[in-house]
Amino acid sequence: MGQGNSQFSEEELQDYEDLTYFTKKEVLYAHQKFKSLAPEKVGHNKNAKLPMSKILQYPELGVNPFGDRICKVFSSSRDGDCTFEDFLDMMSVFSDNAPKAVKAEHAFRIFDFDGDDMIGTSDLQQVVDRLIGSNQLTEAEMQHLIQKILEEADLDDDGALSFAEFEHIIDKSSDFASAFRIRL
Amino acid sequence: MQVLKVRCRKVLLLIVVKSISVGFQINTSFKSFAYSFELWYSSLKQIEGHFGSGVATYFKYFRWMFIMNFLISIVALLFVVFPQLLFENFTTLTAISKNIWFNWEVKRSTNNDTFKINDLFTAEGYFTDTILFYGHYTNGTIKLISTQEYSMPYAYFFTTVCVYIASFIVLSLRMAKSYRKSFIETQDGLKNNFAHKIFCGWDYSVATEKAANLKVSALFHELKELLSESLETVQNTSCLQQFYTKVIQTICNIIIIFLLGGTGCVLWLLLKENTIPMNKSSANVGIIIAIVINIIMWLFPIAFSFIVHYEDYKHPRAALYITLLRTFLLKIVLVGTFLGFWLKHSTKQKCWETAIGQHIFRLILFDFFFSVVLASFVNAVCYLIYKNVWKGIGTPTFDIARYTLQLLYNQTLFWVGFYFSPLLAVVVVLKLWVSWYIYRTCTLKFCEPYSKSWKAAQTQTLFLILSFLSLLLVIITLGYIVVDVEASKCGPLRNYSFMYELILKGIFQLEQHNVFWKVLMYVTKPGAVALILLAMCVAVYYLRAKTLAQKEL
Repeated sequence: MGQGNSQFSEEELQDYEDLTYFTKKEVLYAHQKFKSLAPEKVGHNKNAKLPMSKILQYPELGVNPFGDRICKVFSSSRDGDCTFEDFLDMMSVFSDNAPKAVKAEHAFRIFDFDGDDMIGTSDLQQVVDRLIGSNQLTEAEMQHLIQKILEEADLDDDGALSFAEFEHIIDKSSDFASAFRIRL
Repeated sequence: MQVLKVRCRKVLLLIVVKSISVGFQINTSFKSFAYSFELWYSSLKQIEGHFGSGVATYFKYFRWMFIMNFLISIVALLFVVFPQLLFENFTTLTAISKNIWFNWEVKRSTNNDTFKINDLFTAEGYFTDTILFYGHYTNGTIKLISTQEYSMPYAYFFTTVCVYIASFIVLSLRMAKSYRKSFIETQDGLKNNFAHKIFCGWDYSVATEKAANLKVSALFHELKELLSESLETVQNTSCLQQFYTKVIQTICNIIIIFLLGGTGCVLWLLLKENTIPMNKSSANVGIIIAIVINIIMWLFPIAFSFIVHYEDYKHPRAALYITLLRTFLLKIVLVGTFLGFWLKHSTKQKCWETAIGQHIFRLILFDFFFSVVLASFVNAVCYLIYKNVWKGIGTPTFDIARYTLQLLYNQTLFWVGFYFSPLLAVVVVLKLWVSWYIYRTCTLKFCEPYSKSWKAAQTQTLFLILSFLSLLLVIITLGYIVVDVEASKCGPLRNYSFMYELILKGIFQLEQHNVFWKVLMYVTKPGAVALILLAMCVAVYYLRAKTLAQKEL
């Protein structure tokens, strides 16, 4: 396969294959994509840490309203800077082969802005704000919207969504798995 | 000296880096080659990035159809076309040749008609008696290897039947899976409108600024719509209003039924008018009819979407599904009338199987000219007008429903025609291959994404159900042909007056002590049949009780 030429040894590739939802070929392809974000850095050090601004040059992440959140969730240093392994992890979760539960778990963390393991009203407001971009909802509309979401999803009426409640909602959506997906 | 050393080291380093990168380049080009095994990967990614997963669903469906047809064509080539070619072009030498394996020589092929260029479009003349169509296949057995026989009638019949059964099974499994995913597992999901819009609204595969902006504004408008609906509290439409809407809908449906029936009648009359003088070459007639059918298929969907405006359906999705269903019915009526007419009137012809194959071939070819080439051309012209002359015309949008039905129509034609022309599989594969590149380029260059978000999973299921239905109808029709239409005196089954007799003969040929024969005899005993039916009933009852119990939980 000519993998001897790559920056990875056979064992490393095997490890990556075991730890992600990718095959070895896809791991190498992912590395190619990672390298194209910052060829000068990754050329020297295959696992170089790239700043968030570089990661956001990846087209799908750049236009995504939650791009920075995604970087932060997957960054091992929690500041949005990603090494190749973080990037690989990210792409693996967004791949077709990742199960719905894994996707749901990461989606939850992306939407949980304050990191309190609950999606509260402030989190919901931020999510909506990011989704509608430069458009504006009136205060009343926003309140109504949040109230509606909580009505639908907040089963124990504590004013915030726990992971279980979030997953329950996600489970009922036929489109989540196909929407929460990035082709490598 | 020191400086030189440093420079030397730099050069060395550069060389190392260069060689690594060259190595990597070779490596990656190999990788991307291996990657291209996932067919059309980069095109799909590009389309997904520009248009989101809704349009990509269509292209994935397209790719799936292409792969299926490709496999069918390989099977057809291997088991039917290739043996026939061997039979035609080589003839057995003497039976007692010394060389057991290669006792054959090249035979000269004979074809009376000379090739003319317009035969390519009509599939008549030169092509009538070629490997393309049923009538050309032999009813003999091929004995190229001295001890082995290859019976063409059996090969032809069972290969085609197996292809139909296999595609039926594949399609039903896929449909069931998709149905389970998008309807059953998410049964209670419809209530969670807001939560779904918020949590599953963003399409993560979107990769361009333009598509992202469109997505944002689409999401915003949908949210606004949902909010205003829920804020307004349910305004009670008056009884009279409801009654009025119902009446309008009924009238529209009646109009549509008459339209469809009328189309069928007109097509029938047209076919009759043009084919009564049988001595006239049917080729030109065939072309005229193919063109008429394609024009009908252009105009009617436009009329349908015009009519649906006046029906005032509550949800745009309902309107879309209704239009889809009507267009589907139109296609069924067209193909059905066509097939019905030919079965009724041309079975007296010398070789009606070939005739049907030729008709289908023409339809598929003209569908390519109209719905692929011409439609793409119109799209391009619209886009140019929009860009340079007049903005009011609006950019062409990618209409998923129309494109999918077009694909479905093509596939239905193929399923009808495959039995009469195994090589049609290759033709269809080529057609799809070319269409893919035309569609892709045209879509990426000239089309705008839909401004409404598209429920990909459920629509996909609907398309699968429609293709399943059309395959089912085709299989029923073919079953009727095999059992109840007299076979003509050409083609592989010319020895039988009805095609199904081949199966009977095949089974009766089995010797009495053959295990299969015994099993068959045993299974068809009334007692065994009753037992099987009973077991099936019990199983159904059990499964039903189980689902009911689970529902109550």
